[in-house]
Amino acid sequence: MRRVDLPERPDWRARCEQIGFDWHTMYGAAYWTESYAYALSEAEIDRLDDATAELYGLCMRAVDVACDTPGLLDKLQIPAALHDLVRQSWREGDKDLYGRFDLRFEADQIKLYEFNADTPTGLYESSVVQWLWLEEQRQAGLLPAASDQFNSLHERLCDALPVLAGNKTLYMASAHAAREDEGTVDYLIDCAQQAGIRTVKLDAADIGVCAENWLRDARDGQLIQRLFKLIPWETMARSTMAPTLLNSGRFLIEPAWKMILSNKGLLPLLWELFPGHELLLAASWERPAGDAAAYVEKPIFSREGQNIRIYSTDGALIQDTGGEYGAERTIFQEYAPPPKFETGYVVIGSWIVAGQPAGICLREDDGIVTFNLSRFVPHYFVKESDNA
Amino acid sequence: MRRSRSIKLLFMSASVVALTACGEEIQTGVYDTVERCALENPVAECEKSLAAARQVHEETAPRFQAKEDCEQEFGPGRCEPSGVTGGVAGGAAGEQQQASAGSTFIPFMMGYMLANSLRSSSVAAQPVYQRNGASGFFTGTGSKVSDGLGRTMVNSASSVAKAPAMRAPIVARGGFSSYSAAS
Repeated sequence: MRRVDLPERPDWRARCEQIGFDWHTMYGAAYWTESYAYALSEAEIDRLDDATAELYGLCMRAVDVACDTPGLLDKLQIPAALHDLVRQSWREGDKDLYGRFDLRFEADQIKLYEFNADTPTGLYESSVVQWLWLEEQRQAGLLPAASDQFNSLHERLCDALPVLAGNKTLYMASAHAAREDEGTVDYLIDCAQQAGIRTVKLDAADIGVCAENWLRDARDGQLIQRLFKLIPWETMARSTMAPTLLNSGRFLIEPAWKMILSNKGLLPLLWELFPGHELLLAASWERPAGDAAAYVEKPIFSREGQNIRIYSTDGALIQDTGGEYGAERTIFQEYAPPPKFETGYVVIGSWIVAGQPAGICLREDDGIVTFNLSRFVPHYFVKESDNA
Repeated sequence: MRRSRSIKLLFMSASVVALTACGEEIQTGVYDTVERCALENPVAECEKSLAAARQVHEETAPRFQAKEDCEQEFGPGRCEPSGVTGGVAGGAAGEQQQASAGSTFIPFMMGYMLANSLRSSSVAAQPVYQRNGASGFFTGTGSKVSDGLGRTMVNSASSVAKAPAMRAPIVARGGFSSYSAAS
């Protein structure tokens, strides 16, 4: 993988906004960045593809174990009232839609940092914006004609949504105050409508409950029988409306068993099940002993790089990102910073849709922890035979 | 397949109008057994509806954290831990099973409503329940389906045609709205 300087498309902001990607600049800083890109080899793409499929397989095994092992759902801090729901959703095969593995990729070694299994964002950028960039830069002759992208997100999402929706109206919810979240939902609505699914978009504030404790569209009282929610399960499980999940919980996308995976407790769980696995970093529930290698402490529900603490080999705290999470328990993971390129540290997000690897996105940050302010940098690869 | 070939977008952020439908009166029936159903209907349809109703029962039966709360709604001895039995009415054998911590209670499925469809509308197969101190059969959310077993008419647009009620007053909202989602 190498970093390649490229001219920006002169009208890229307008092009992005034309297709609804109006959060290309956030918090006063560039989010979408195309003055350079990352070029990978086909062999590297193959390895990422295989690793993603394998990691998903390990995760499925972890869910199985978590559902069958007494005490494990408690350890993952899933409320006891929802344990039956989690087990039922898993044993009866409720399907999941998507997730994003965040990977360390250096010197041909791939390691899992974490799995955003419940509410990953960056989807539209990865699927459509990045692809449009490739096509236009190829047409402009700035990228080799044979350049390609690891990106089958759009097709896979459009294929998966009808299966998940069945013949039901698909309600699509996020907090509309968060533009990035709403943009992700807008994109999925577009996919769903192309597949012929009736969709209703609603703000998280408009999800309501009736006296019989079913989830409803609060604007008209309609029963919600399929709900894509860009709202974390752990948030819903702890809200005043949580009791309604006993009734309507099986209607949600992602399914309840994703609570096991969207939880950083997954990391020590995986390490216990597959100790020394080449795709995993060592992880534990307990703080490593004093003479251990450097490690990172992560709250089990942290998002966007918040409340991450990094400790050196002698156990001294060397970085604390701070933030709003961390009231819940924490886990510990071997310290392995992302590889550094000329402009920053790069983490690869690898998408999985309906159990199939579906492409990658690259996030670059000035620091070793990837935040929501990290830059999104497009990628391409060139087939080996065309590379000569 | 690795790369996208073409990406088509219809209209990002389109708003959608909810569908409304007018109903038709549809003949259906409420039965406690396939045998009783088969006196009035093809046996294959009876079996199919029972299987579908059982599934709806498992997915949408009202759930309670305390057995007493369930029995108050549905009657003494008419509730069981969820995931224990799957029978119609005769599920009494399973009622003595102990619930594990964290489990929930649901009412016994006392019968089922036969699925039927006309050209443009339909009623779905669904479980029916009896309620504490009331005669007849009810959906899981309390809408009356019939006074007894046998044939009955249901309006396809009524809440009875589908379980639970498609439209109901809201008693709380916004509980899921304070969070940051992106990850």
